Amino acid sequence: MYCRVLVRSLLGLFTAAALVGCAGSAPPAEGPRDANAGANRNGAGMSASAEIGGMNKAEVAEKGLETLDEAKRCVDEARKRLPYLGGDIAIFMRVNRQGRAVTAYLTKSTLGDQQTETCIIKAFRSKTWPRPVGGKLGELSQSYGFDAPADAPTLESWSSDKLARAMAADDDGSQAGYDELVSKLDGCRKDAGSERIELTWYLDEDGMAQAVGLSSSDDKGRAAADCASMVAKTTSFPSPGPDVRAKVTVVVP
Amino acid sequence: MSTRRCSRPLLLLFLLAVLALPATSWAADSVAKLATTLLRSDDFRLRTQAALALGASGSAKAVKPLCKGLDDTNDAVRAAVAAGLGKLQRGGVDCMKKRLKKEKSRNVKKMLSKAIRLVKEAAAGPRLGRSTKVYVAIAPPRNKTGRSDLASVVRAAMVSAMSRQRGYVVAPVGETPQQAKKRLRKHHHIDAYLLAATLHPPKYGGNQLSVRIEVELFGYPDKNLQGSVGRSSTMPGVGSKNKDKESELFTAVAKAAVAEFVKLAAQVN
Repeated sequence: MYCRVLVRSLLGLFTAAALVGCAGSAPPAEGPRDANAGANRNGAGMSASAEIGGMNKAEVAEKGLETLDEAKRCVDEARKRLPYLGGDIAIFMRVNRQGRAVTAYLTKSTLGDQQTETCIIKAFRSKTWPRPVGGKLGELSQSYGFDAPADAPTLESWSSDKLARAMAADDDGSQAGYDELVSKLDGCRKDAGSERIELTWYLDEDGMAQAVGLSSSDDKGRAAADCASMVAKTTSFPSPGPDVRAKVTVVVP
Repeated sequence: MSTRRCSRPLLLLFLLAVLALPATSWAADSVAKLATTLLRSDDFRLRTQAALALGASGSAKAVKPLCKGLDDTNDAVRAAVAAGLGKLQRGGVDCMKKRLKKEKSRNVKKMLSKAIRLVKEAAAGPRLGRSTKVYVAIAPPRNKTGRSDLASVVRAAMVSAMSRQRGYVVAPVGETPQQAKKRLRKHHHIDAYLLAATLHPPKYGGNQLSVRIEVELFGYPDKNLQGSVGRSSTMPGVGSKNKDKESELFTAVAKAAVAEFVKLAAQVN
């Protein structure tokens, strides 16, 4: 199947109070919580002025499917450049009382193409989402998978370890090249002020980075994308082999 | 810090400008601007992006500024220049060899060595591999239109359309049968064809323009006729001779003919 869709909500607990605005057989909404409640989301002590409200799961899912068509178009467009493009993404959004996204970033992406990721984020940002119930803001997270076309060239999957080994093998056993790469990528992360970034890029058979994508643990991470892309594209990597391409994923730090 | 604050919006603007440019206008309009950025910008990130963009421009005019960029004081820029020349594959071996002799950075040295190899390989002809399905030579079209420039317009459209097909490799201009045989010798899984297009004179009538292209399909390099594809198209609202519209319509028909050929080739396979 072309696209696998998973819709998740960040807020774990459904509460009766949150159903106030959802009459009859309306699907359940996620319960509101205080923004300061941290990880302990038990719904206790919630009030009408809670910072983070609940989200109606079914409405979010419906809007997500609607947006998926646009995301597919982003991927299709990218495949004109990168026929083997594919991967999973998870997008996190915070929406205000008008249903507009005030925050949107990828918490996971193995697409390996910044341009496609930006296009997808833009598609999600441009929508009006269900309004949060019982809070100023609502949070939602949705996951999608885009399988590479069946006739696309096969890609080897390279982890950080495999990349480190390959770079060392290409450099008389020295780890210096890999360490330099990670140090530069970490510099991009620090400049952006993000806690953690995860990068994915495609290596062609000559060991050149073709496209670079990024996900992050926070909304600051996206600012590291241009820098990280430049670092990867100006680093000489070992060839994955004749007529072989690789997809590399590195987590920083 | 103040420099960084100032330059980030500039970098963003530059990237937006580069991304917003239509691919076809890059080579014609942007090489000079990118060259200026590469050689004169104070921000190494802009110079790096400019070098990468020049490499992606496909223009032979990018070689000269890229070669000059090898003298940049920043390692990342020099690595980007080498990567750009390696991607461009339109020359620059001499300047890269010269730089390699005095280059100190390990990463830049590697990138230069790789780029030199890539440029040399490109000069030797297209690379064929396991993912290559079809090798296509495109003969200069037989041009009956009375317009000498249309032959190159149509051939360029065919090459462009063919190069976008997955698994298709276009033979270099002027490849001899001996060279083709040598190139294909180790790749028995690849089907090879020669396409020879004939451009018929454009016709005007009924307030519309009509053009027709016939493409004969030969085996390659033995040149045994295997079939032909004919494509016609009309453009309404063109009552009198209009060279631009003719070029536009011939380009569209050439691309359609290539699409037709690709379908046929897929059936044969």
